[in-house]
Amino acid sequence: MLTLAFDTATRVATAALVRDGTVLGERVSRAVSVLEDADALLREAGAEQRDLTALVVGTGPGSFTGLRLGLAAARGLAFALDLPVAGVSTLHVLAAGSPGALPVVDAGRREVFVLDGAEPAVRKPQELRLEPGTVCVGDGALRYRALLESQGAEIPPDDDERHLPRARFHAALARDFGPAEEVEPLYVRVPDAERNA
Amino acid sequence: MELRSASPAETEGIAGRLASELAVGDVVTVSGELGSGKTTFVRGACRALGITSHVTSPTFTVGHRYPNDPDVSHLDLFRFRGVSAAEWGDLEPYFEDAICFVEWPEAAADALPPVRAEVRLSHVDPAHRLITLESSEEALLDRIFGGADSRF
Repeated sequence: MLTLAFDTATRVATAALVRDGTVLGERVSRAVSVLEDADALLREAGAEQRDLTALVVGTGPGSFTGLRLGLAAARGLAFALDLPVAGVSTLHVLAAGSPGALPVVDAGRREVFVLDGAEPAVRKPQELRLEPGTVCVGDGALRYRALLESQGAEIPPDDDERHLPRARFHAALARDFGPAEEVEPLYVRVPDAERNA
Repeated sequence: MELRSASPAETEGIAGRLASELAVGDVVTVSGELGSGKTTFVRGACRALGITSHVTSPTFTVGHRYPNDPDVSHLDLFRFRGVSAAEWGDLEPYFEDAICFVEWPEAAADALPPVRAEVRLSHVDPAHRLITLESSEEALLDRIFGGADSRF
């Protein structure tokens, strides 16, 4: 099984090519170059597009634009190459890359996305109520470093790779492969139209 | 920090000094009544950052994004009453990978990303403007204006 995984939900995009659990290559770049990354990963592994057997895409939560870009790329590739797709939450990937840590994704507008149990939730960073010594990872932990540290959080250095939703973990966590159109982005915030319905 | 401007050119110059300290991801709010020089201020910052295209008020378009290194976004939230989740979906791209100036930020209240500097413009008399700059980083203001607290 040759799996291409990528996540464009946050400012730093990640991609990985994984064969039966073995990571063949990983890239860290920007959402706009996710297709170039996919192409480069295949070439570096000596593989062709038609060798791919599955796709995994990060479903956020994160940036609206980044999420839509990633989902659109996944749907396009799945349609063109006739591949099944699985979605994996960006928060769960951060948690998998840093066991025991609280994943914190920047939600813009002075809020962050975190896991409340197993469910993604949106919170104000000053209202997280952290246990002292909680390790926080992700771009939200970096953005609100001073605030979270003042609440007792421990945050790895800025360049620590635990802050990145590394796509090797998307491949490892992926379950339930199916039609691309069944993979939904996690926006978390309820759109007004839905709330008023 | 308070500064006095006697002309649009002087307002643009003050904006340029602030702009030289800004980096991608920074948000600057620009407040003030109609005609106080908000767009003039943003224009001066854009010029200093190397943007050569015409900078106009985005009152009716809500946002402009000028390609540059880094890009510069210019938002005008005059017609907003709060920012819904759906509206945030439209605004968010302006803040990503750009320096972003926001006119009429009051409408968004706490719904903006953290703000690096707040600019307020007000009329002193028809020819003069009072420009107030605030930032939680005192060192930022010191670097821009050499520690002078007022030029009155």
